Amino acid sequence: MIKTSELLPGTLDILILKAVSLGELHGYGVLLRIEQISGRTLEIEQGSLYPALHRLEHRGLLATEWGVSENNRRAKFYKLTRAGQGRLREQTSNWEQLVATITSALRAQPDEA
Amino acid sequence: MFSRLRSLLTALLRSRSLNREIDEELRFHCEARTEDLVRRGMERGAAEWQARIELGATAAHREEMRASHGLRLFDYLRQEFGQAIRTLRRNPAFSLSIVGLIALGVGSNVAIFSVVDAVLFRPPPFAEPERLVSINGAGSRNGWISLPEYQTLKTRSDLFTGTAAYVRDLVTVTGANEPDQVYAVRATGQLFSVLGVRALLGRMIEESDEIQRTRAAVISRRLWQRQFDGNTDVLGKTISLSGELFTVVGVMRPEIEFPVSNVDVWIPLDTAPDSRYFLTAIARLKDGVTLSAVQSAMDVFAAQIRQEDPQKDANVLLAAPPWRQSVEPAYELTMMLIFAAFGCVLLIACGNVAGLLLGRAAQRQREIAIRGALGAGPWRIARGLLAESLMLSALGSVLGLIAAHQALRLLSKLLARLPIVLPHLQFVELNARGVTASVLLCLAVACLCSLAPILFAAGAPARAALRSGERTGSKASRPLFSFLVASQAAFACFLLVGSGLMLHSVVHLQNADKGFKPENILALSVPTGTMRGPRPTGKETQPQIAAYYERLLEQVERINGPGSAALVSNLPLSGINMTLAFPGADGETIGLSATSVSSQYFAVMGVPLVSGRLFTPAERDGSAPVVVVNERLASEMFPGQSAVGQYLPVSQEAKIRIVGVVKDSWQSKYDQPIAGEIYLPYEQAIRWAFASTIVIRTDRDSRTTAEALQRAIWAVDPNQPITRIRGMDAILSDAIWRPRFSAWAFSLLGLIALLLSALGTYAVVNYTSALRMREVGIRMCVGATARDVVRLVVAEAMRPLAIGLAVGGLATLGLARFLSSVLYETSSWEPEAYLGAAAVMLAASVIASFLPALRAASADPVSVLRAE
Repeated sequence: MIKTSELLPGTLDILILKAVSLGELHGYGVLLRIEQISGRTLEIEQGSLYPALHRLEHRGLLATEWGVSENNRRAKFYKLTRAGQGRLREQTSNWEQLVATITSALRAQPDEA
Repeated sequence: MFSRLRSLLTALLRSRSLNREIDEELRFHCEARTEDLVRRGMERGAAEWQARIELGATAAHREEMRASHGLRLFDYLRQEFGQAIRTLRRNPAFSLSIVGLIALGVGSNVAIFSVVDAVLFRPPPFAEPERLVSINGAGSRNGWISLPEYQTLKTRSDLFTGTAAYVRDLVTVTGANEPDQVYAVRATGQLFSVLGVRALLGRMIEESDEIQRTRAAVISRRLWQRQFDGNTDVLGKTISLSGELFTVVGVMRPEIEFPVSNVDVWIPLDTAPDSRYFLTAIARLKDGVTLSAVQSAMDVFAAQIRQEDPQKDANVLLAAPPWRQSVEPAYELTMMLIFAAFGCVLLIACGNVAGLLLGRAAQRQREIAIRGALGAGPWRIARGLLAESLMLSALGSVLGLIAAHQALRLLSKLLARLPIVLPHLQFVELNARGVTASVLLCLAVACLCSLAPILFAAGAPARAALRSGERTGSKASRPLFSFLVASQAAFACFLLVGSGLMLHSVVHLQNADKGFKPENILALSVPTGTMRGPRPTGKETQPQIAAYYERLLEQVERINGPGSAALVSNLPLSGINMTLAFPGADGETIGLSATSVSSQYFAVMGVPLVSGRLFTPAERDGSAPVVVVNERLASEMFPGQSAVGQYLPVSQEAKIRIVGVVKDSWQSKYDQPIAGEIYLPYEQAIRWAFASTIVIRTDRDSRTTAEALQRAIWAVDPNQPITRIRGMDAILSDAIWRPRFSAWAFSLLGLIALLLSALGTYAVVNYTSALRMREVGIRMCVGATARDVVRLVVAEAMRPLAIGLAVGGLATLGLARFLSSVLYETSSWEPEAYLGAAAVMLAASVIASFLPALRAASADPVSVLRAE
């Protein structure tokens, strides 16, 4: 398993936005969703998840609402705002570009240098 | 951006509920995780434990989450200040003393700054005051220029953009509330445009007033409030100035004091060609014209004047200095001394604050070492200490500002009650620059002092501080404490010596032989005409005026008893001085102080006759002129012979016979040596009717007498202004207001300084002896008695004190030159003052150090040693 703290900075934010974009979630739900969509290869450090959620909320990318969880408990739910959707699209394309660039850089052969 | 701000604001407003939400969110997380783990087959207790471990420290998460909302700074501040308030409340005596001292320091500092700024540094409230020059006659001229000379100056548009001339006058105001005698300025129409000032209400005197000879008057705000109760309908009202009617057209701004602070009326100067005035001119320099260019132009002009009238104006010079409001040097010096005294008190208070903070800093070194050992970084510790001192300084500063505001209000009330008008001090207000500077200074000092423990800690390794049982740091700080005690003693010593000298001087003044007996004398000012000559009121000629006053005296004597009333042209200590010019021996002119009096004057005032006789009713207008002189004049002009029967030459032809010599008595001012004086019978020579005063010797209740006297005088002339009815003793104590005021201020400040430095000594001894408990314990174990311990502690406290006293005494001797010029017949090295100050200081310090010494001595040595 890869810890999120070992990833590039900002990766956790994209993952959270992506997870929430698939449907309204509470904090624990975000954790589970990220593990699920990453095929259980990513392990979220719970300590950094909540500050990240609050940071995204503070920036207006996530909206929050208190609701009832699947087992009938009061929980705080996060959903993507319009700004959050924009940011997710932007970050996704940035990410893809970055990955493509790094990938081609890493495939470079000696004679091409 | 906007959403972040809104989020921060919401978070700030609901800081508490945010905490609750965060807690609830984290709790939900834990529960959900536990459920999951249980579902995976874990036992519930272990699952809960596991969930909690996975989440980590919730408190840290909460802090991080709050920081996500931009609350980091806010949380820090709240935490630090909350901690600071708790620490300070645990030590209320310490906190209150610091706040009190800071309040005292900031308050006095701000108040002094505002006053000094107003008196000494504020530029004159005129437009570009540095471009104003005054043009004065010099050489054989006593400052004045003539009207034609001014009119020539006015044409010099090559030098000046505007020129004005004025003359001061003393006039009586009637037709409003109370008859009043005030200083007036008669000015040409351009004066206020040259100065560049505008009216508070209405308008100023203008050019057209001079040309059309409008009888327009601008009055001071003081006079407006006194005579018209500050009503805005004053404009257009008529007032009578020494019998002439004027229309009030404007009220002067209070900060405009032109040419000096006691002027209450400004009226147009009569520039008819036959007017004879001794004028002063003021002009505004044209751009690009320098002072030296003006001076050389004035030299050329003076040469012309000398040529035109080589006889009369042979020695005329003209001076063109930059314009400056003249303030009496003694007044400036008195103010400076009082400010210096305030400064000393401020420094003593600062010393106390520093001592308290340092003492506490040394005491807290152990606490700081522990916090450091537990992992708090220096910045973290500094933040806490800073928060504490900021709290204290802020509280102290606010209290100090309130106190300063109140003090200045009290000061203006006190000043308003003084018998004279003080320059620049009419409207002293809190000064924004002063406030900022003082508060910043205070914050800086407090922060520096509060950081001292960290500096101490840096000096001594934390481990050593922890290991050694005693409270360390004391050794490093001891010289600092001695320095504080010594410097406080030095400043307090200066103040105490100063107040001793000043009190001595005032007592001396009050007990001095004034040459007259001020007790049971009532003086009534009954002026006619103005300083610049009589006005047409039917009392123009000498016989008319003399006859008028004769009738007034008759009426007064009918009430008060025959021979109990007299007339005097210039009352002693009134500040008005008359000079008569006499041809001297070698063709020079000599000026002699002169007073017109009625024959009963000497009897009423209690001035004893030394030789010859006093005036008789036979000395009237037309009879041979006679005078009475004082002893000083007699001995100066006729040394070694009797002055009685000698003659004073008035001119080539006329002579006056001296018929009597009286004892010297105080003249216009108390602080000037008594000069030769001649007394003229008013029936023969009443020259200064504008200052005429009736003096009455009376034993009766002065209030009822005053009313009866008023009625008697108004029976002769219902329009006679009676501008002042005062006891001679009151006039005397008003005349010596300056030494009384400074003695009062110095004594008060000296007392405060004494108290503060005693407190400072107490705090320092208290602290240092607490540090020496171990040593004291050992001494007592090996046989020292309580008495020995007390002696040891007190003696040790006396050493820096003695040094401070010596330094303070020497410094005061060094300043003796300044002190002696405000003292009356008191030497500034009067040993009593120095010894008295030293004795008082020593006594106060012995008492201050005795209490902590006693506490140290009464502690049980065994338990002290065990505690260490």
